[in-house]
Amino acid sequence: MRTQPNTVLDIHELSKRFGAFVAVDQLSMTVERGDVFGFLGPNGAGKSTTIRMIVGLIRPTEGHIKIFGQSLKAQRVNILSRIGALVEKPSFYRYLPAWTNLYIHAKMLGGNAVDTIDDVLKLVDLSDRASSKVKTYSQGMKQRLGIAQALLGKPEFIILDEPTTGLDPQGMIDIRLLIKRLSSEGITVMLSSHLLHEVEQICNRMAIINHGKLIVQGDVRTLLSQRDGTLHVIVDKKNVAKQALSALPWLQSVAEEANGLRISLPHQYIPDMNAALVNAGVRVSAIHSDVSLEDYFLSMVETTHGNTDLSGMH
Amino acid sequence: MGTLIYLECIKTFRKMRTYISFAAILCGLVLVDLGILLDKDSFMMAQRWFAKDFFITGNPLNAFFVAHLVMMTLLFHIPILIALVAGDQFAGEATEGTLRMIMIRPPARRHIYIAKVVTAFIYSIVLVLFLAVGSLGGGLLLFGRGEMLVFGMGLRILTQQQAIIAFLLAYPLAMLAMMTIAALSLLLSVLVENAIGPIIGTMAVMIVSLIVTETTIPFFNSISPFFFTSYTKIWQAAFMQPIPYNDIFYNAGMMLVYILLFLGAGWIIFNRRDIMI
Repeated sequence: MRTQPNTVLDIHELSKRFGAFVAVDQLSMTVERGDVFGFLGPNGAGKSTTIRMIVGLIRPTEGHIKIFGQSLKAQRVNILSRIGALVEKPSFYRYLPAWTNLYIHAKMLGGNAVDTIDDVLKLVDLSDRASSKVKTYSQGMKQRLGIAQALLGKPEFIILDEPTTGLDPQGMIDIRLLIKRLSSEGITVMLSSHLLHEVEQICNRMAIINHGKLIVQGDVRTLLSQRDGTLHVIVDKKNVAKQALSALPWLQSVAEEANGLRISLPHQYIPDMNAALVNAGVRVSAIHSDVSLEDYFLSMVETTHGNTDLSGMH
Repeated sequence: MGTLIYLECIKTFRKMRTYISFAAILCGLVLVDLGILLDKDSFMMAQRWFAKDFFITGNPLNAFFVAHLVMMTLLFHIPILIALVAGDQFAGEATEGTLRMIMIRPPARRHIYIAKVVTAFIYSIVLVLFLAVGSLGGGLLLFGRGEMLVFGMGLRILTQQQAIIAFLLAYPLAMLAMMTIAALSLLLSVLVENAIGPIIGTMAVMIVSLIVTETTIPFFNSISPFFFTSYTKIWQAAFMQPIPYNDIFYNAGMMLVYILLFLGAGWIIFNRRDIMI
């Protein structure tokens, strides 16, 4: 069995072709229970197509999707009653009040989802506008209502596609806090976002895709720490340290900073660098890597495929 | 299934656009009734001239006559109103993006499809019922009852009892005709992703079909049985004496065949379709 009991989403060799165009190409990835999983890729990478296949809007050409260990094809009703999703722009019946819109979704979900309407409205701070027609809502309010509908019926797995689009900075912070809170309550979250710092802040695992193919997936911190980049090394004797490091053939650059050195070197030589400093009698107080997810993302996407539209990635 | 139909009814009957149709029919009824009232003498004179060789009991300018006149006039225009709502069922939701939102919910596609079809049919039935109540009710209030004069292919006089039976038969047949048009609109609604397409499409198909079935060109006679508008006017047969039940059953059956064809094709497309917007 490929699916572990702890695996919430298991995508296996998933492909989607539209005529000759391959939108998703043999994609395999997993989301584990309790993950806040970042799903990244440049425009046209196949993220939305993948998400649409996960929620049953698009039929895969090949491969299969298992959610909660069950085949989506065979157990669609059971699976969709346990997940919530906001796929791209939230859309509502503009002529109906927010509460009625949620009522329609809750009734389609079944169970006790109707009882959760007031709770989810409160959670996204829309209780006082519940009876207002959606056409009177701002973009940010619609976005929050979209998140509210995804939370109806207390789902175990939530898929959020660009959930902070249209929100002001405070709104973005609120959504990040909400996702962290959901995660702390044991809800698994899959987050597709263009905002890389957002993913870096709240996701523990991630996958990057490009041209429909998986480039990398894994733990965010582990992946970032494996990349070459700039290190900030806090030392007591800067000159001695610089002299000791200058003898190392793989060192790319070294420069002085206020309380230490800024060093560029391949990731695998970090222990050797540290040993060289210690052997030279330098006390190393701290080593910080400043490889950001943005750096990582760009390096991964650009090295795998040259012609990629990276507009919109921040 | 009942819940889904109820939800579709909420969406349809809480939308202002739905009531444009009822307002249009009401306007039509008021105009026809008002026109007859204002020109009552001319109508009476014309009726007397046509019926001078017949013995007619009661007022010949009565509710039955007016309701029949309204039916003849408005049933030609109601398909536009049917397309306005039935054509919006899938295409309108696709345009707004709400189809994407509901399709990620547990109900199966076939249940969503059936719920939308049933709602479009409910709307079609309610619209014809509104026409029936409005024209007969308004006619009774304004013109009273009497024997019914039916013009077209000669003059026929129906007793009040025969008139009531004719209307009881004609309105359900009109409903079936409107359901056929609703089924066509639903098919077009599944095919496209913009709300205006099915409305224009339905009208375009109607116009072409009517040209073929209503124009007296010999070549068209051979192909007109393949056009559904050959069957949708069968409600007029309810006012014949004796009532041609065989023709009515045949034409009603053909409308059911067209409904099944349109809905079947719509289902195949909807079931296979990827929701891209």
